[in-house]
Amino acid sequence: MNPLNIDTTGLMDVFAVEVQLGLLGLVLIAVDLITRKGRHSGPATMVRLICGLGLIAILAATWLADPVTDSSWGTLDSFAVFFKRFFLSASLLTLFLSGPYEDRLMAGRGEFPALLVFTTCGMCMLASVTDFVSLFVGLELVTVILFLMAAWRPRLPRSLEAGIKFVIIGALAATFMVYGIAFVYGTTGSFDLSAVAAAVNAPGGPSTGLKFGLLMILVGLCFKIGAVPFHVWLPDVYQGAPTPVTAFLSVASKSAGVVLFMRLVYTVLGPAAADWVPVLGGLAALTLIMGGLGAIPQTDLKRFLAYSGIAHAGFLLMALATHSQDSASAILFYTVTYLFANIGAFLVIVIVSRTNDSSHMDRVNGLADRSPFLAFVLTCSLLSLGGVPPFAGFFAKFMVLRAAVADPHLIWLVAVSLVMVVTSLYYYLCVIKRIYMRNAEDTGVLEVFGGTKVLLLFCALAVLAIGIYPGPLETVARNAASSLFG
Amino acid sequence: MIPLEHYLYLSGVVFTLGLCGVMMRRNIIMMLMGIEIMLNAANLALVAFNKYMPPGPDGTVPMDGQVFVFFTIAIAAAEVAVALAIAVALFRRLDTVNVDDVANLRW
Repeated sequence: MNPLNIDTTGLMDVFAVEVQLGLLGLVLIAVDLITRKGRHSGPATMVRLICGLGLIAILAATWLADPVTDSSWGTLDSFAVFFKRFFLSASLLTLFLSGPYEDRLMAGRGEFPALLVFTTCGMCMLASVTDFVSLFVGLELVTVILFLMAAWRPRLPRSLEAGIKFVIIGALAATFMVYGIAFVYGTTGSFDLSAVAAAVNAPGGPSTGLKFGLLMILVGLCFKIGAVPFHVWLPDVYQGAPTPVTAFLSVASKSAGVVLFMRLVYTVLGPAAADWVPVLGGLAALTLIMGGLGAIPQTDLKRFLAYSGIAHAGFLLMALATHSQDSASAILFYTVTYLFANIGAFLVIVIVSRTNDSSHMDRVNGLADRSPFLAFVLTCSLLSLGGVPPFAGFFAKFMVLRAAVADPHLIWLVAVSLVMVVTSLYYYLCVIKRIYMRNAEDTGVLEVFGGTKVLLLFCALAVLAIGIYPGPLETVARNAASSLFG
Repeated sequence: MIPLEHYLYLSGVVFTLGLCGVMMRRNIIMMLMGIEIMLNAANLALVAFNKYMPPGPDGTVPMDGQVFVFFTIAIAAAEVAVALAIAVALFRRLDTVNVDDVANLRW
């Protein structure tokens, strides 16, 4: 036995994006070191510029890479590539979003883009994993950096509170995950997802130890996407964390959990997923109800969007419980529409909270008078999140429901989700009522400048365009999902 | 030789003790210690499982379970470093490391 005789075929092909992101992060730290003198010396324009250009280059390079599916290190199938592009786009949008927020960061302005790049590296890694070791390492790379980013304003008690709550809950979720992985390893003898899949679908069914292990891993992932009953950290962290971090958490970090969920449910559980439908369906119903009812009494915009995010996690879980190729492509479609709607909403929050650093709902009162453009963008985002046609969120929900209706065991879940969609419309419309009907407390006209305006317009138009013409994105989502079912 | 089950029972007990520590303690440092104990319970289970793994076709037992433990130890160290950094910042700002005093985010 030669322990150094390691077959590295395809390693650099599968993880090319991750290597590029890691190098970009190091370059950013070096640039920050060189260009900035002292700790509080103004905005880190150079770092942000290089970060943006680097992310765009890496994103463009994903179209040049060939798919790799025969490596033992990971996979670069169309599903993985789809999510790598998704994470890179989310990171790029978050970088732009943090621009108008930058003056509120007292220190660490230059390090912020670097950490964003490193955590994106972890997420891209998660899209490619085929074994539990890289799954765990990638997941921790993502979460440990996000702990820091949540506490990025150490003078602000609410940011620290968000950080410490996130650390404790996140670390707890990680221990559940490792314990689950230990049992999966012990009962199957392998960390490889395909070997575990074979053991799960072996005649006679999985052993008790294996089921226990998978359940613990499921608990760890439920923490990640914020499914009930593991959602308690989410509203606090969303409210306390700096707004760009909240936006990144709500789209990218949640989707990182969704990627792993999809790999586990569709490839590891495979046909055996039928046994897990009651678990996943039950979690989905609870999550939908909790998210829907929890959002109603909220008075803070970020906390409100946290509960709305829980409700959306419920929809994604419902699609996972459905377990068909249609539902897999529906999830991919859903995450993209959610990305644009959420980034638009959070960017508006960044701008309206500029004067007094508060994200209370009063800040959007009379927004239509102060800035009709911002009011339009926020309305588009909220209506899309609520699933109103012709916005993109409508088609996302429609695709999930269409896939779920095909499964006669899930009719009850469809009924629950329809009730919750109506409830969610109520609370989204409550916010829209504030925008158009209430008088502003703070009557100053809100100016929006160049790049921010373009980004806002882009998010609103993306939400509208996908809603009116969903065909192309649906095709992309279908192609990506088909590789999961090989 | 001690049977595998004994290790697993021990690991289960240690995991539960750590979980109780996280749930009951209000001091952030103590909660982090509880999490470390839980991680070590998982590590114990991993090493024990690997030790009792049947040998492969070439007569050797792969060591991947033991190697994974190194990964978890390293990652746990990183996690605790970040957690302690936040706890220190919290103590400087609010003069407390008790989670009950850090509960202003409510609705």
